[in-house]
Amino acid sequence: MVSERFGMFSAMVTGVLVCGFALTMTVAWHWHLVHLIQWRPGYAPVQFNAALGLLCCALGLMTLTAGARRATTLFGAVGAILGVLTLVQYGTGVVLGIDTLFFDPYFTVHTSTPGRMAPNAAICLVLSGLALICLARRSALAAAVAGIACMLCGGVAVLAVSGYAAQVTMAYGWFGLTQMALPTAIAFGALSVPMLWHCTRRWKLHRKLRQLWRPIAIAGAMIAMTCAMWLSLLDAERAQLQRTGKDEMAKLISRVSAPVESRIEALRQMQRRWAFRGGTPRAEWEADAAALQEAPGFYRAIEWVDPERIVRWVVPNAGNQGALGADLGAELNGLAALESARFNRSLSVTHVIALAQGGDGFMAVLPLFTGERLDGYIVGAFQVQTMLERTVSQGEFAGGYALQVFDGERKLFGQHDTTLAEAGLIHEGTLQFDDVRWQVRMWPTPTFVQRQSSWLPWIVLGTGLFVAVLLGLIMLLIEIAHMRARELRLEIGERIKAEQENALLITELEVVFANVIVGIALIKDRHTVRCNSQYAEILGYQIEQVVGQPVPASHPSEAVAREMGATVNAALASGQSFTVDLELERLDGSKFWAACFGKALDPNDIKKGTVWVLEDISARKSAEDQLIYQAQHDALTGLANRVMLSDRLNMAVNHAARHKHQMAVCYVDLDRFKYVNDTFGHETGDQLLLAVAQRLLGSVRDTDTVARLGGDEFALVLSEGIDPMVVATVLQRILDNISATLTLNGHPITVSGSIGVAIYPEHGLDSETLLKHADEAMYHAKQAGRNNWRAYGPVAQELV
Amino acid sequence: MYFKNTVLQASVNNLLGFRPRFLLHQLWPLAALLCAAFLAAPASAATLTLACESPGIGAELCELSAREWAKKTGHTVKMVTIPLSSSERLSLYKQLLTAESPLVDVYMIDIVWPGIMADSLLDLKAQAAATIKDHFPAIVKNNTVDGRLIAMPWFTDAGRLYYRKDLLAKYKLPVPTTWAELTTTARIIQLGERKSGQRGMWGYLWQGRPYEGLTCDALEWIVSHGGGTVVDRDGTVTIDNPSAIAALRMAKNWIGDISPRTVLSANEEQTRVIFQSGNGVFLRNWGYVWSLVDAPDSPVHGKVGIAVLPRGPGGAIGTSLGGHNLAVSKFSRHPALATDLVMHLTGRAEQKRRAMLLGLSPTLSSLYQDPELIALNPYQETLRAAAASATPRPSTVTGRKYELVSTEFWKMVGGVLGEGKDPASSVKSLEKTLNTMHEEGKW
Repeated sequence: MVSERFGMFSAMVTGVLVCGFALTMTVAWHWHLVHLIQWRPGYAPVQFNAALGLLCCALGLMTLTAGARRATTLFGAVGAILGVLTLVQYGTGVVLGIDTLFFDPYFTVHTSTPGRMAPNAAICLVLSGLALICLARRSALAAAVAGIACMLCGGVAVLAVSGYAAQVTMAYGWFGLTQMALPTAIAFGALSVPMLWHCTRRWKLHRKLRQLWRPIAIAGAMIAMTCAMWLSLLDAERAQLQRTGKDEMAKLISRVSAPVESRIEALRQMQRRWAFRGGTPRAEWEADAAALQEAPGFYRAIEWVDPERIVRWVVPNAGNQGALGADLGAELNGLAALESARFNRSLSVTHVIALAQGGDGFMAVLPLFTGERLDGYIVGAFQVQTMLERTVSQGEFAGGYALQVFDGERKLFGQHDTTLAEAGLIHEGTLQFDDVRWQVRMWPTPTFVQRQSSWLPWIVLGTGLFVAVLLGLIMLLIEIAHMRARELRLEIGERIKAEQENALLITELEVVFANVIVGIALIKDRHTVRCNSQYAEILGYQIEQVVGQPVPASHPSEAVAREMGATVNAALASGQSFTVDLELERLDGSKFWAACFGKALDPNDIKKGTVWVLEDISARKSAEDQLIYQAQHDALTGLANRVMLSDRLNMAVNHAARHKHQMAVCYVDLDRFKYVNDTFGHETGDQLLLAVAQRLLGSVRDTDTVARLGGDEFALVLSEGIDPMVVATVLQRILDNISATLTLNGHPITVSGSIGVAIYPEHGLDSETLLKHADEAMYHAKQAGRNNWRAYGPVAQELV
Repeated sequence: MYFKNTVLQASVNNLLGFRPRFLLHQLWPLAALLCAAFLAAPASAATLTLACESPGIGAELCELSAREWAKKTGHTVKMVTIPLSSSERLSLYKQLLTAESPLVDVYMIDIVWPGIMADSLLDLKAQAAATIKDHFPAIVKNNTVDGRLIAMPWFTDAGRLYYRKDLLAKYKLPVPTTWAELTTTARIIQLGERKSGQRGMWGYLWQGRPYEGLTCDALEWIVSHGGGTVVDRDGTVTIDNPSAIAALRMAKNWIGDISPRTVLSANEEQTRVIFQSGNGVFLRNWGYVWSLVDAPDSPVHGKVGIAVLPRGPGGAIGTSLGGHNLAVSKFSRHPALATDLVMHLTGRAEQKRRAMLLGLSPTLSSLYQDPELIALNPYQETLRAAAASATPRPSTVTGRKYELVSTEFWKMVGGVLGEGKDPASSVKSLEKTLNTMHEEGKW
């Protein structure tokens, strides 16, 4: 947060500073404060429109930092357009008036005319403008473009600044075009930093861009280094070219002047001879002059001119007839040379003039004195064209260099000079003969420049760019791999955790699986895929006999299918589980009750298998049965108890009612049981009751029910197929059986019973009434003196 | 040896009222012949030698006039051929004067040379006292060095703008009065004419070859921009100023736009030839051009107008003062005769004759109202205004160093125009160079 605030602050400060700088520059243009615009005479000035462009960019940065995106776009666009138009001017040579921004008259009144912005400044401007426009949008692509533009802009600016520092002209003045001013370069460099900061803020928002910036930065740095190397190599090549040119110039000058000077020296010898002899005879003089001209190419003629400046002797005569008798004083050049020679008594050289004998040349004039008497002059007429041609054709500069030789405004010689080289490559020198100076201009021809320039800088550039791109790509791959690895690590961590949890779960499940009471099996395609030992055990198998084997018909899956038919599959397919209790058969043929639970693993595809849970519920089942038995039977005798009696009685009543039968309910009470109990003890009493129960059971049919109602009270239900007569027989038999003597614990015991009977439907239509009436009848029997039976009411009597 | 009768014939024709033709013949055979012809003159009669005009109609007329004087006075005159190049001419003059040569009595000297040659020339003040006030004061002042009038004004000249009346009328454009207008007008007409088939048409022609002519042209741009005259009257170097830079940039931008690249190697004649062939809208040149371009056989006869050079953005006008004077050598054996000859040649009648025949501008302002001259060239008032307001080059103040100053200056301008050097740094280095040539304004 702190760094964020600091960044914002710095960006704003930079914006304000650059803004101030640009404003100062525009104001400096306005008030023509040359020293502000151009720091040092040798340095390029800050161009007017470059200052305006900087102003736009600085305002753009400020508005961007302040968050006014629309204004940022506007300023960026203005800057970019300014730069693009300048570049268009450079590219096409069309003058769009962008250099002065159509303020021509205004600026020329008050300031010097603004020149064209340097191409690198224009590129910086375009890039900054583009970056600003992009930074005003939010998309990832815009952020990416902005970042790259910022880096390039900064790179160009830094390149220019370091060019100034290292004095590599190429770095700030591209190929001899307008140079980027140092302050402009610094300002663009300063601008690109906060813009880059803005970019990084954007980039943080986009994951992919976060990956991108490092490779781009590295590739950018590599490209910048490459460019720096490339430009310095080009610069060095140029410097080499300049040095060579300088050397060649010196060589050329000595090549031309040395032979001319030696020939003039020879003329001096003739002059001295004349002075010594007091006038050389014509024949000797002519012989001397002829001897001097043995090496051709320099002299046109050697002449003797009389004191009245008329040419008298000419050697050689051939080709020089025109000169004989000519007045050298009629022409100012000749006149001045002769007069000067006479006055100074020394050598005087004319400019290149039209010679009297025709053709162009110059004259070296030596006065001839005998004592104080002027005897005339020796004039050496040199032919310029051939002289220069010979010299130049001999030198290395014959092919490689363009050459111009001027005597004042007069062009004496030209070679390959139709196209002028750029200013830095032109060398100027002076050829001097006495007071006459010839200007020599020499520059390497384009073909020579091409021949001298090696591929090295371009190879360096190409290789560097290739390596930069490669490096960027490698960095990108590393970055991607890094990111992927981090993701994988996270993923693997999660997976390991999940697997550990799974393993724990599986262990848990396996423990449960192995130790659970129920049997569990996975059945698939009528085969048991997996089961626990309990499953096999419950079914009476060894586990090996089950797993992997086809499912026999006795197993739950098959049994359930058999029992429930299609409803099983329907239930499984709907994802429902179902539970059913079934009696199954063990391997040994024994039967048992089992609770079966089934559920499909995947309801959508039953074929994937079904899980079956099997529980042996035989024990539970039998316990249940026992409870039911205990609830319905007398614990001592095993006879039905009151509950079961009423149940049976109801059934019998219902049955009789349905079939219009008669049935009877008897109430049996032992006589003097209390006495037996008290006399022989409870144990004997119980044995007695047990014996009575046996006797009662033996006295009735299987279909009849004998129940103990408690104490020495018993009840009988004589169902179907009876009539009063049968009843009487049965009752009498019962009485007889009871009263038979028993031996219990060594004691002969004789008991008797009293029986009351109620017959359906005569004595009641429901079980309660029947029981009540039988009870009443039993009382009647007791009152009638025990060991007999009585029917209820009148019927009983009838029975009697 | 040969004699070209046509040359003399031409001069005679001129006297009879024919328009002169500019002839670039070497005249020294003629001079030699004349010299021989007058060998029979009386022994007491003196022979005066004149270095007057380079070969051509001007020299012929000079010779004719001198011979008329000779006939009248019974002396003889001899002409010496002088080279076309004025810088070469100056160096030869200097050589002769250094050699104290009595062989040349009368020198025709450029308006910028009085400062250089003053020491070797006679003071003509006394003899000229009666007539000198009729001459343009600026020229008289220019010719007065340390109170000595060392040369008599002979003819003056000033940079002028020749324009194609017909083309301006065709495009309904006025005669430009500022450089900006000139640039625009030239561009419009150049484009228009090229479109309508005249591919060789250029908007503006001027002298860009690195020589004294370029000094004149560049000085005009700079003065009109308010950039001073390189060295001011006090001897201070003033060239490094934004106005000078602006002026140079302006000219630099013309090249390839309204001016062909060939102007960079063109002198007066070459630009005049292009203009006369109909391939120029505007031409900056001297006075001699008029009689040539307006000659009946000229392709642009009747289509040319003359105007003062355009003003700079600040409204200043810069016109280089040109022209020549006649001076008498201190080493002359016949100084009185030579002075008399100079007075004859620079007199009203001779000046008018030169104006009539050669189209040269007199140094006597009253002559501009002469109806005969106006009939010949209706722009007399323009010419007078231009001459009267013209700015001399900084020759008098820099004296002997003028040549060096001028050379450095035109080299610098040539570098900016032709070699793409930066104007700002160029003027800066020029100022530095020039400041090594003087001490506290003493040159």
